[in-house]
Amino acid sequence: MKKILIIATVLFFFSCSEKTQSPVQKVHDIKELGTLATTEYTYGKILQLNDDKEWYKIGDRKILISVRAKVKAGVDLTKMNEQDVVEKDDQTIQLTLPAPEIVSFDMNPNDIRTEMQDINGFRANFSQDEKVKILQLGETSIREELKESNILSDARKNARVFLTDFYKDMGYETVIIDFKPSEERGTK
Amino acid sequence: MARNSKTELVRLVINMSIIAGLVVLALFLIRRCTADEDGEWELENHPLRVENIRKIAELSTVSYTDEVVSDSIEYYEDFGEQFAGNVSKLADLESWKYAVRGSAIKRRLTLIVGGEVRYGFDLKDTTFRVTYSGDTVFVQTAAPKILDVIVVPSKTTIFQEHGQWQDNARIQLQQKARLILAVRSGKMELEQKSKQQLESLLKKLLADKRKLIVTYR
Repeated sequence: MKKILIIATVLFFFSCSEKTQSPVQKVHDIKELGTLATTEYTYGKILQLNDDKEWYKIGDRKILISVRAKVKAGVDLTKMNEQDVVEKDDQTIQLTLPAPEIVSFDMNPNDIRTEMQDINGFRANFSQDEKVKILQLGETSIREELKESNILSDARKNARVFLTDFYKDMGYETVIIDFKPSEERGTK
Repeated sequence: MARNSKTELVRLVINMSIIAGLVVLALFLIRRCTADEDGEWELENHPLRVENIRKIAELSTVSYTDEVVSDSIEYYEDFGEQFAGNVSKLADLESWKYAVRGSAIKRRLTLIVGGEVRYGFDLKDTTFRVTYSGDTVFVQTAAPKILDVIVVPSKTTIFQEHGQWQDNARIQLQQKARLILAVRSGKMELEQKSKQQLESLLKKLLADKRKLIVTYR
C-alpha cells in the first residue's frame, strides 16, 4: 500500500510538471537580393462591389474604392551566372540577362480612398475587415491585369540602356545584351 | 394526482424547449438576413489605368520582412459612459459579446500587417559614377538607403474590429506599421549587408580579370 502511494505521488508530480516552452519563433526574415529595377509604373483602379446577390438579405450594399499601386519591374541579377558575362575582346562585352520581371508591388494606404458607399434596407455598413477583403480582391485583379501592360517591355528596354551606359563607362565600346526567355510572367 | 403533475412537468419542458428553439431560429434568421459576410464577392470590371511611368535604376540588395501588430484602442471616459455604452452594445448583434463583461473598452481596432523593407542603391543618384583605370574599375555611390517599404492588402489582417471605425483609422494604423517596419529594419544593420551584396553583384557583372573598388559617399 505504501509503495502504491509513493508511485502515485511520483506520477502526480511528474504529470503536473510544466511543459518546456518552445523557443520564440522569429517572424522577421532578412534576404539578400539583386534586383535592378528599371521602370516604375503607377496604376490606378476603381474597385466596385455590388453586394446584392443574396435574395434573403433585405437591402443592398454598394461601394466604390479607388486604389493606386506602384509597381517596379527589372531584372534579377542574382539569376545570372559566370557564363552570362563574356568579354569578347577588350572593346566588346556580351551579357545574357534574365527575363525582366515584376520586382516590387506596393499599395500605399494613403492612396486608397472610399469614393462612395450606399447601404440600404437592413444591411450593415462595410466594416474595415470587409474593406480589407475588397482591397485584397483589388490587389489580385491589379496583379493579373498589369501583365497586359507594357511594364515588362519597358523594363527590358531601360535595363538595356542602363547597362550599356554602365559598361561604356568601363571602357567597352560594344555592349551586346540578350535576354533569357521568360520563365513565368508572375508578380512578386 | 402525482401522475398528473408529472405530465404537466413534461409538457412544460416540451413547451419551453419549443420556445427556446423558436428564439434560436429567429436569432439565426435575423443574423442571416442582416449580418454581412464577404461570401463569394466578385468585383465589377473597371479597367486598369496607367497613371505614371518612370524610368528608374534602383538596385535592391537586402530585403527585411516582418509582421507588425498595430493597435488603436479607445476607453470610456467615466463609469456612467461605460455603463450606458455597454447597455447599448447589448442590443447590438455584433457588439453584445463585448458588453457582457462590462468592458471599459469603448472600441478597438487591431491590425496585423506583414511588410517588407528593401535596402539598396539609387543608381540614378548623381553620386553614382563608374570610371576605370587599366584593369581596375572604380564605382562611387551613395550609401545604401531604404528604397521601398511595401505593405499590401494581401498581407494585412484585421485581427479585431470592435465598434465602428472610419477608413482613416485603418490607414493611420497601416502607416504606423510601415514606420515600425522601417525603424526595426534600421536596427538590423542592413547597410553593411547591403554594401557587401552590392560588391558581390558588381563583381558578377565584371569580366574575370577586372578589379573592383567601390567607394561610398
